[in-house]
Amino acid sequence: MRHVLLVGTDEACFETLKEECAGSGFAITMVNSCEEAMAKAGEQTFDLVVVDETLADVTGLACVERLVKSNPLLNCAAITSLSSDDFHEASEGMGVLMGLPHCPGKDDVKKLLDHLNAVML
Amino acid sequence: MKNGRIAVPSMGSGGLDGMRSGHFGHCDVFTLIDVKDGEIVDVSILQNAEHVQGGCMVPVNLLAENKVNALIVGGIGMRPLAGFRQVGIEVYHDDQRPEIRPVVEDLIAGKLPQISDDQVCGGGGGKRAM
Repeated sequence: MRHVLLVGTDEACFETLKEECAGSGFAITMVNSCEEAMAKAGEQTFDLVVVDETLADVTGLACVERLVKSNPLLNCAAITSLSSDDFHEASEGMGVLMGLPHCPGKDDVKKLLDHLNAVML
Repeated sequence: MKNGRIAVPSMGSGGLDGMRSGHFGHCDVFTLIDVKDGEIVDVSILQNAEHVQGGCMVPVNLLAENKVNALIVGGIGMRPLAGFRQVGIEVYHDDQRPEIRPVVEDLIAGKLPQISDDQVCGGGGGKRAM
């Protein structure tokens, strides 16, 4: 079974993401802060991490930076309100799979999982 | 560097007299240089894999599978740099010279510095490639 780690405080906005990931066979773990995410990522292997734009302790991209610096094998996506160009600039070098809109819908999750599968081939 | 295999992200068909690519993830090929007792003993070409967003570990795995010991870049992101370090490939930096031969000769002579964390591309304020 594949595992996804969701990092954020707005659980309602993650509902569709949770449902679609569960429907695709992912086991789901959710935490509120980057500190908790770092701890979880140190305990077990995750195939995907999705980080909200703002967390209980740091910004989402700051958390992605910490996660991939600690474990470059982690495939991360980040929720963002930035334009595509601004997000690319802000996340350059972190190897983020893609930026997702707030409260991602079914189509967003499908694109994300398709992209994850392409990267993991 | 006295012994080992060096990889240089390259444009076009690569080769020791070819030109470097400024972005290792998007390079056409890798020029591989085998060094023994401080001398170049073989040069070969490795086709790069297709680059997709977030696929930073693809070239890391490709070079690790091809027994590369050292990589020379003009620029690199934080995640692939961490990946190369994790698989034991040393990453060296030169963002001034576009030719392959002089940077390879400098690495063999021990004159090329390893890249530091503040030289990675990214975050809007990072260093850019050549």
